[in-house]
Amino acid sequence: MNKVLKQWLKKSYIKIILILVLVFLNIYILTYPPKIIGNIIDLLYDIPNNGNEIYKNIFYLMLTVVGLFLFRLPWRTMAQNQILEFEKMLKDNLFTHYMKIKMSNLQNIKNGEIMAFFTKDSNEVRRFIGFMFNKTARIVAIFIIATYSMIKSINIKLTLISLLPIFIATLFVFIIKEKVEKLSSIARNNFSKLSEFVQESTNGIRTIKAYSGEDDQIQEFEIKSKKLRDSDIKVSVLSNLISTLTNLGFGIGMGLSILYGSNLVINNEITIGDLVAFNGYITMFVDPIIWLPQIITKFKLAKISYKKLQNFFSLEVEEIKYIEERKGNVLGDIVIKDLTYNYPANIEVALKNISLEVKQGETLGIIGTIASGKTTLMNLLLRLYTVPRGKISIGGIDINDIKLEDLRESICYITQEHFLFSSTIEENVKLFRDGYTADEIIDSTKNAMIYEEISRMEDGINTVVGERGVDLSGGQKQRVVISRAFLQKSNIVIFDDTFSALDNKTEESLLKNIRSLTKDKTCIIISNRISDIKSADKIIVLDDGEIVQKGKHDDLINENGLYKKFYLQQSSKIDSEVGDLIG
Amino acid sequence: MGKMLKRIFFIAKNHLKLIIITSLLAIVINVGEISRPYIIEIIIDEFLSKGIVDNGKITIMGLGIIYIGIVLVQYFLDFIVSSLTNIIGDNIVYEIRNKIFNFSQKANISFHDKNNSGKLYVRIINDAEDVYALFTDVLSTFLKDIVFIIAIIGMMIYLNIKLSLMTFVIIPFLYLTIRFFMKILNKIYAESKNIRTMLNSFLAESIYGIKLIKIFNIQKEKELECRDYTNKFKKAKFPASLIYGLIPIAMSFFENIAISIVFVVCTKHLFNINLEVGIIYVFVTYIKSVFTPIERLIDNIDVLEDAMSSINKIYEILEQSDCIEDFEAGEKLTDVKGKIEFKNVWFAYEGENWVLKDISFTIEPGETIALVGKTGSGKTTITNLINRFYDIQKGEILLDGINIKNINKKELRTRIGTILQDPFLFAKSIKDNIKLNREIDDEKINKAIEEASAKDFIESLPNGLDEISKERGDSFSVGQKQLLAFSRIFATDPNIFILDEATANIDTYTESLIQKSIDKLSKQKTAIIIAHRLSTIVNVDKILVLEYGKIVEQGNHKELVNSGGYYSKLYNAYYESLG
Repeated sequence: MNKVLKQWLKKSYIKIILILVLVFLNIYILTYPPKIIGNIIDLLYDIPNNGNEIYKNIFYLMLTVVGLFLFRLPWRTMAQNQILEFEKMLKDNLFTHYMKIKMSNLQNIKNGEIMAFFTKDSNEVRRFIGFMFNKTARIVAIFIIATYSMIKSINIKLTLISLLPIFIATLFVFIIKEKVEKLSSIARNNFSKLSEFVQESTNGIRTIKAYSGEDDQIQEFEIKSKKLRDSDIKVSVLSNLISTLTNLGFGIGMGLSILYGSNLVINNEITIGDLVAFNGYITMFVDPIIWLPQIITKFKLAKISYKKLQNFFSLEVEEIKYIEERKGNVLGDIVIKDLTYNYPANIEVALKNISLEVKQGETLGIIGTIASGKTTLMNLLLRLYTVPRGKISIGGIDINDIKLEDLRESICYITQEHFLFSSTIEENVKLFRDGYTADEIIDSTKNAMIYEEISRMEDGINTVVGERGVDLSGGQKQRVVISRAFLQKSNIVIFDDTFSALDNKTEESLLKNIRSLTKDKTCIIISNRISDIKSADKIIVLDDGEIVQKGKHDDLINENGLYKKFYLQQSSKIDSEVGDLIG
Repeated sequence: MGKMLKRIFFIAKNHLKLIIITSLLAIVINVGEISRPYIIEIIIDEFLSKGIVDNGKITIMGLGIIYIGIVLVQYFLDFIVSSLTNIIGDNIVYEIRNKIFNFSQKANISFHDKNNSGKLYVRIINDAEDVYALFTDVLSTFLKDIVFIIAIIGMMIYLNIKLSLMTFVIIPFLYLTIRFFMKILNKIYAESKNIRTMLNSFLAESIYGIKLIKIFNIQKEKELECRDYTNKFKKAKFPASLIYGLIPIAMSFFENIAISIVFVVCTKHLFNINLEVGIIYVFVTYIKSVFTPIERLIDNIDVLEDAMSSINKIYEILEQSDCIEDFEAGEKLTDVKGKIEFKNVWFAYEGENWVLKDISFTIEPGETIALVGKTGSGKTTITNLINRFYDIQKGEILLDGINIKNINKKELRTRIGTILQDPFLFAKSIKDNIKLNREIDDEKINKAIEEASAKDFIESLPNGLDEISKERGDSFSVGQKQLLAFSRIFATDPNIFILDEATANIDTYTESLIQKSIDKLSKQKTAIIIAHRLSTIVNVDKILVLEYGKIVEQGNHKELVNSGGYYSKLYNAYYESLG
């Protein structure tokens, strides 16, 4: 975060200084109109003699507009441009960082929180910087320049007397502000409670309806909503008190300035025009006094967000080392030696003493109970998490020495979550990469057994899917995702429980296609169905992070163990039924 | 516009009295505001010009005290007005939120198909907030400002009509300039809002799909896409800063032109105008004070825009009143046996896209049937129809011989226990998730979890039954969630039981537990199972094989395998795959 700030300051510091100079010039120009109007008022008392003088002053008055044009416009546009630049820089950096963060660091952060970094927290910081440019700089400038003008061109005692109530009011404001902050945080808390509740109720609507729980939900919502309303009202009323106090300070200050100023006029110490000008100066303080307490709020909010972003930025990223200069695919021989692993900050061991070897051209089948470590093993193979040295090698190279990009390029991992980007089917198959011919893409969808269904859609492969497009069924999504495996030219292909939503016929054909695709590649199929893995060259059975059995289908079914148990469970009923049929 | 006003009026309906009171008080405040320069005028013309402190009627001191008195009253009232406005605004938001939420809960499933949860969330949370801004920031100041501007113009005319008319020359130019700026700003806002939405949905998607992005090595492509969006956003927003730079300059231009007109006219005594200096001062002060509300008006334009579009969006939802389910109507059931009949049922989610075509079948009380078929063949639709999540277009669905259209919806649904493929858990304790706000005592819950074989798993949790589930039950596996869903059924004992078997892989142990519950329940109740497991299918009384919304085969496992139809092919393929 500091880095982003520095980067921005480095790029913009000249402009920032220029902006600050422009702010002062602007305020300086703004002190002229009251003075000029005061002058004219004095001159108006003797119009016959002062005609020309009055016109001259009117000319000056219009000149200030020209001055404003010359300084204010560049100030505002430059300031705004810098703020927008900062916002862009921050978001770009956040995104780039996010792309690189190690998966292990993302485990405990909710997606909503990350989204808030990009929206709420970035905005809070941006707003504070905007506030500094637009308001704080002006506050300082006005305090210095206007006070100086008042003292210099009119009367120091008058200045002190009139500003006194304003500053007393400001003091009270700061005291109340504390209380407002406290109430606001309660209100914010109520707000997030309500919004969480809404999220849950809308997501779970089918369940709610199925048990007729609508009325209870409505009741609970109304209670939460009411709580929020009441805390919001408290905050607003107290905030109103703040602006009332400020306004009172000004009103009384004005009144005092008239009382004491009139005295000065009567004693010929100042002119009527001076008094009018003085009124004009006081009005210049209105905005800054209103803004002053806001600085604290804005700063506090920005500080919270800044810290959050700071933490996010300090999350460790994946290193991209260039130890072994290799272009593209790594050879597909996978060797795992005595790998034991537990997730960071997790006591439970996810993998225990895993050793195995798969040669290029071979197919490995993995079956196991739930949470037995199948997906963990794959996560490590892709180095989504830090892998201990000397435990996994691919193509004879320790995977820590393979360029991360090359590693992931060489492995095509089809996951069980069938996530599609909101884009066309084509983009989802080729994943936004160019360099594939139309035929290649079509072939890959054919191989994944989804081509026919795609071509039946109105826009074919250009059909937009995802959030803003057509909602495909689970099975269709899976097959779109599987198409990727047929398109990418990776040496290692992994299917992690990817056939669950497919019917047997489709699955059978798909497996055939996969066999011919991976004839010369390393293929790993993870599944709980024996039928998916039975033809694999090697099968391992995982239980509780350990390999409990290893071998080929024909051997394993004759061995007493988990595999046989799975096999019997999945086929026993059929056997008895078939027996009945034949008999 | 007329429609818009009607909508605003409707929203504010309950608070009209308070709104009128605040408006009247706002007028009083304005009177105070306007009278203050007038007091200074008196001081200047009656006292200072003449060099006296007492004109026999009143002293400068007296006038000063009156001035401060006005200030005190004015701002005291101002405090009351703004607090009342906030209270009105907060109450309006409260009402709107309740209304939308209420609507969303009572609306049928078709409505929820069209309005996804994200959309509803934005309506209830964010759009309602915009309406608050409309009533507090905009309408209250807007009203006050309009009254103020009119009052100032009135005062100027009262002081000197000719001079006023001279200064009013600038009004048409001012109006045109403001309209010009507003038009441009509207355009800029629409554009940048659009891009912001695109950027945000891109971000949300990238966050959700991070693992995939990493696995497929497309970080660079995504980074470039991000940069593209942020750049577009910056470019779209930049012109706004130019306009916001220009507006105050334009305002001060018009302000000083008007002031200059006053000075020139008074200096030249045009149209025989000969005013006291104090009056000229008042004119100048009034002119200056008119511009603050005008600028505020322009500043609020985007708040106004947002609020208007939010109100429209809220009404788009609330106007779909035909989506509201009637929970009062219909027969209450007494003794349900559980016979379900579909008689020539035709159903389409939309128009003539028939999802179910002429479906007829009967399930006798206590029978178990399995629905088999590819995705999109209409299995889930059939279960949704029994629950009356949707109404059919043609045909009849009967429960114990009564058309379900004539049965009270709540009643119907409590008689049916449904387990979804991926059961939804609330971020509450396990106990509350089983109870689901219904009156069920602890003993019954314990019995239910025992019956559903969920006891072991629940007891292994650190807090047992009191363990709080993560959002949507993310801390549990699909299998565990199904066990809890079964506990819900055992706890309430409905007459009919619908199960959508999970397709996701469930470990063998959990699966055997689930199987146990299925066996128990299907023995006791009428059961409808969307089956994916052969082991389930072979055991049921009747199998309905669906293809493209039609029943292509029905019968028990043996019959169907022997018939050599679609089902037998499916079965053989599976059997062969096991080898």
